[in-house]
Amino acid sequence: MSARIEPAPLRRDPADAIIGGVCAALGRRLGIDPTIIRVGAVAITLATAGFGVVAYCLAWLLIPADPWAAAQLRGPDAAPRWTHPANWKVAVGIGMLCLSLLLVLRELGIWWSDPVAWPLVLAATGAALLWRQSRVMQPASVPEASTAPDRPATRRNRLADLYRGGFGVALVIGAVLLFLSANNALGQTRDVILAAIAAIFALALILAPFLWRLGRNLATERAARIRSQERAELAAHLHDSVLQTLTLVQKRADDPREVAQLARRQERELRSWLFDAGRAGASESLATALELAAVEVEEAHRVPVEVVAVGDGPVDERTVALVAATREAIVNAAKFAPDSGEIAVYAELGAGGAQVFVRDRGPGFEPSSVQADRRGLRESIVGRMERFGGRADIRSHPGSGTEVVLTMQWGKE
Amino acid sequence: MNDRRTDPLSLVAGVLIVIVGALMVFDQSSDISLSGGVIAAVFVGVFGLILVVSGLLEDR
Repeated sequence: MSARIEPAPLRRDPADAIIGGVCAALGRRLGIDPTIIRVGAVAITLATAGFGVVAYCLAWLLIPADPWAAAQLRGPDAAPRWTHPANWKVAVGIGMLCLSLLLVLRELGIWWSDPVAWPLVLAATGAALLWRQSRVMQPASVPEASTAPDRPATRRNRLADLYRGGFGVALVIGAVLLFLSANNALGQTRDVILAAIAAIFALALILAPFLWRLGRNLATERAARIRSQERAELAAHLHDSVLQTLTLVQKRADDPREVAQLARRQERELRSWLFDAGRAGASESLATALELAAVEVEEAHRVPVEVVAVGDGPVDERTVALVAATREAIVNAAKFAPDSGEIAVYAELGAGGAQVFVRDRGPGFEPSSVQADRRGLRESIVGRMERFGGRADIRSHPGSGTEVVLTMQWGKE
Repeated sequence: MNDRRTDPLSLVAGVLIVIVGALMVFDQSSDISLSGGVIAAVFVGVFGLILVVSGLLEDR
């Protein structure tokens, strides 16, 4: 029995390309030296008075690039490309459709003039490019409350966005200048443009010191805000871990083995938090991290905790905060409703966000009556969720138990 | 791996090229009369449409 050998797929290899890699792709598919294909392509182009160029461009558009070869060429650390090729295609395509429409109108006898038509095509292309660039500009993926410092990749993406927008603006301005030049109006606007440039230069000189100081103040204020958020996060973590453990130590002071166990566990956790990057128990799954947090509280406080997680999600700084807030909610339920049966944790997890419900059948309380110096709710749950762009809702009344609802979104589903 | 899914871009481009080819054939056989301007408009329009579809599909 002989094995059937599939021919190589028709894919352009950017690494083997002289222009677009079309001849290399055809050569690989047909099993022929690409040089022979290239010579043939040139011969066809000469014989057909240039039609080969049209056919080559069509093939370049229609034959997809080899994604593996393209990724190898780019490399993992390559700078982001100035412009997204898809945006250029759409923009040039719209410009050509506009030109086609104008040519049809000319055939029907509706024609303004070349000095109007060509700037119109250029402006349409520039406007289409600006519209496309505005759709694909990077949204703020890190929430405002995040304490992560500005990474070089983020600054590079912002520069790339600026370059991309600049091409579209340049095309539109070029179209306007072309229109003015073609209608002999450029000379008349020269004086206006010179006066505008002089005014802008003078304003820039006058405002430069104020703008410089404003920029520095904004940077200082941002650094202070980051420090404040880091301090709040540190305080919340110490409250959730060390303070809770010290409270348990006081309660079980008559059991030395239990006290030693609590102290060892807290020491391990604190060392891991101080020196390790990962926080969610080295778990790569949000559902697993929630279950581990529940088990930890169950063992420390000796109350049953039942976790039901539907779906799963990624583990990043947002979800670590979600897990920490959930843990604190379970701890609160264990502390203030220890004899009210099982604590129920229900989590709906997805690629775009998560919602976690922590319910107990304890005595309940009035959220507005919590004292200002109690940090368990205000900082460790509500404040922590808000710092990372989420929300915490506390639903409780005296005599009706407590439900804590934690919601966090991190992208589109 | 043999990918047998339909490539939308190839389908759209193929249909447009067939239409352009048919127009050229009818023009050559004098069933219709197309001026140079109309032919240029058709070619430019088809090329532009292929570019737009290619860009939109690449962005998905």
